[in-house]
Amino acid sequence: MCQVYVLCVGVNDEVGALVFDIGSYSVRAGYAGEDCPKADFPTVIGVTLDREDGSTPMETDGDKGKQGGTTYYIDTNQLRVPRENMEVMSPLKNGMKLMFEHYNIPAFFLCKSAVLSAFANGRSTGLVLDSGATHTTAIPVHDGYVLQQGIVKSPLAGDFMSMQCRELFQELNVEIIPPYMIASKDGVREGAQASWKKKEKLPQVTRSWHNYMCNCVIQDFQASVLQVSDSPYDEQVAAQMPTVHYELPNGYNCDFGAERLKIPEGLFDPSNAKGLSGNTMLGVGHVVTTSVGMCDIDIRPGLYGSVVVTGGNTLIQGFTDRLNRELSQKTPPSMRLKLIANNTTVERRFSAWIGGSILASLGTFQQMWISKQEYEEGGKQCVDRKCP
Amino acid sequence: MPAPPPPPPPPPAPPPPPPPPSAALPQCPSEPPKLQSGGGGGGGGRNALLADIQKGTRLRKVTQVNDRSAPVVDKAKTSTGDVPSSVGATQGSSGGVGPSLGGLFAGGFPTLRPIGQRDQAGKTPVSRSSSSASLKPLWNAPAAADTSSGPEPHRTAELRSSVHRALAPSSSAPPSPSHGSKHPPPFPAPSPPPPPPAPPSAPPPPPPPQAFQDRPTSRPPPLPSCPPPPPPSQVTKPTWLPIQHSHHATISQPSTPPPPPPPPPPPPPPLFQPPSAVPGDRSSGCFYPLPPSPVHSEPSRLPILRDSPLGPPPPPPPPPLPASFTPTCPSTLPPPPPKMPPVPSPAMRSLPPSYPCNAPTRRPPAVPRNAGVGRLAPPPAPPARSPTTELSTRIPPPPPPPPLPPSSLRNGHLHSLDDFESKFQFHPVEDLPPPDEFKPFPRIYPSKENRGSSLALFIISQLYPCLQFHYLSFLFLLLSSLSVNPKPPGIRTHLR
Repeated sequence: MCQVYVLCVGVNDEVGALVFDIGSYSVRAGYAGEDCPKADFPTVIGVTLDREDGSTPMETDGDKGKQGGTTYYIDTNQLRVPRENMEVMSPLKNGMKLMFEHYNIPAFFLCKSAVLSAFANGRSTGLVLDSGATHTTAIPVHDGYVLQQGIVKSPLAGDFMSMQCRELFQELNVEIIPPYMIASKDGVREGAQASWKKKEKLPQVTRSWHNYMCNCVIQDFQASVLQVSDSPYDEQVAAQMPTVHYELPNGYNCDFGAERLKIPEGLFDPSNAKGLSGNTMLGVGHVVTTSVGMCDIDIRPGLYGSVVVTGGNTLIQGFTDRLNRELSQKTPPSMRLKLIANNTTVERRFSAWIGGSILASLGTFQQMWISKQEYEEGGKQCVDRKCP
Repeated sequence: MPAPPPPPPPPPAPPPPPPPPSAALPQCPSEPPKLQSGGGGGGGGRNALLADIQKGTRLRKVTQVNDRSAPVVDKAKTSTGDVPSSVGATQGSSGGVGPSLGGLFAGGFPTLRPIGQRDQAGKTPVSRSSSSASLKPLWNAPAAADTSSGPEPHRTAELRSSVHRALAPSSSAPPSPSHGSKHPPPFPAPSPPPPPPAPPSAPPPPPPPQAFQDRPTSRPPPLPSCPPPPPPSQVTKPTWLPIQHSHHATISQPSTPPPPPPPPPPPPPPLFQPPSAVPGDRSSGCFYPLPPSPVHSEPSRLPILRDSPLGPPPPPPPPPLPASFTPTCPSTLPPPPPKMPPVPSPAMRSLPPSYPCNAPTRRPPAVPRNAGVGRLAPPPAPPARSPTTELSTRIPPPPPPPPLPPSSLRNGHLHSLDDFESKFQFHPVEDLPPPDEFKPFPRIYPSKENRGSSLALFIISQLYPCLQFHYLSFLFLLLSSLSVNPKPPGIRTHLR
């Protein structure tokens, strides 16, 4: 379960707190008490391997940079420069906890990101629907506690969308060329083959890095072009959809119409999505209702009354409208449904971080820190005990 | 250290009561539920915590946003180790509620002027407080880097969610991507080839139309290009239709008033009537292309309209053309071409006197909502006849408006009749010749004369209206041959 780390730090005799929210797509980090994270960068690390060092990419552990000849690159700019032998990997969950032991932190706290997302919206009870890069998860939160038995997870999320976009381009016979390879390009007619010149003297880049850069291209397409249909996908309606013109870095440009609706439909109705085996997947609406259904009947109104939508994948145009519609249809008529999804872009992606920031700045929270000493005495159990 | 809170019980009995309004939490506009008192024994501290959560707390705004996600284009190509000085324009999504906005909004959020102020002369810089989706492609940043200077502390808290929602679809809707700030995708000119990052440079006016054209399917010539004061002899009017796609409709357009509609030179074409008629209508977030079409075809456009506060739109005349666009393309419309208060009069004189222009200063609009529209005095002639005039704005010289419009209006729009009728010059009753005097006379109905067969045939005709006339007459002949008083002619008349 995704956790947000809240670290207490001492700076110039003042005690402050840092909040880290490490997701599969990006890391959000910053100071508690502020309304947005100071740092927001991709959760990938570029690791260059010394030639003599062997071929396997290394895990990023606590010993940063201790190994000879290894350099780590993070952040967009650094990461996106083609370098030889730079592999891309995700440091998620691999020894992040170990890091704390290296840094002499006086106190810390862990909190589940779903709880914090609810907190960010001023609620301690609600159903948090988090659709990010890797998973779409519905987490019922009650009184600040996650109801583990009600968690429903589905792999249909941002990465799934990216995969579908890739397949679309494959069908169109269009190659995805990341910008780093392009020296120049010519304008071509819509739908025509791209005409571009490759850069000379490109370093020998690794496959993992190249894939990462291609993913970035796909993700931009995904963000710009896709839209969720208001109602279940219909061929005729989609055909009348206004088209969006999009140009890939290599110059290929095209008008996209029905595909705009068709691809994200897989999130809500996976039965027709390509590449999915069988109908075992749940659409987003079903994820929510199933999750609520697994909770005690008495708290369901509270859950339906505060459905918090977070996660970058929910920013697809039309997502929340469709979700609202689906849930309205699926909830019992007596149930009052309230979708909390009015946040701006930043809030949806940062809501867990913002929740952490809020939490750490509350006076009533200060007694809940887990001090270093406690951790040393109690070990992991005290963390499990104290952190909801 | 406080006692650790008890493990969460499966739900306490009473469901949470309906939420009361909460204190201001910047991120939380909605009402949180009341604190559940059944939170368990040792939860004293915890309850306090939860209560605090629900009260909400103000977070500090982040003022200095260091957006390094944009590529460093002109500097070093190889090592980007040195921090590229924060690429001027930071994208809207990089900060919290009040981030420095780059690109299009480098100059801050323009605010829209309400339509009522359209009369003030001249081309005023467009006001956009919340852009429509079309304005915000991801790739603004790099270009913006050149133009805008450093993070703009235009921390207008006006960053309404609608703005971001508007922003989101176009580009910043990063399902997974978008590293916080809307870093421009690594490639130079991704989306629409046409007017690229030029927009970011000039804060207000020009951008909207260009940016607007980012939504390509159709590219109407931008509004500003229309010649402002048309020569009186020839009436020109805004020649295009801002076209927004349906997906924009899902973006709830901000409540700020759209830029004043480009003033139609004297008679704006009634082509654009339907949605138009509501210059004051700000609710419609979407606008559908209205191909010019003859008046009669308007009803067909109705289904497309959304949020139109009008019922069936009053078809014809006066809906001031630009008014039509305004509400629907709020921020994408550039400042209307200079108003032309003076214009109407000269233009009007060229029209036949029978035409409404006799009331020059009168508010012509068919719909009372046009209150703020002011200048659009002369109701448009219905050039509906020339359907291709999307681009041309010739008004056929003397186009006497058919009496049709008024009468068709009458049915559904009584409320608009007051203004509407005032445009027409009706003859007073006295002018009309008096009707003939009524002289009562005995009326003779053939049916009364031919009770027998005629009655039977009458009944048959009523029961079987589909029966052809000749068939009926055949039947009649049969019957009449048997009847006592055959009077074919009379029957015939009746049956007819």
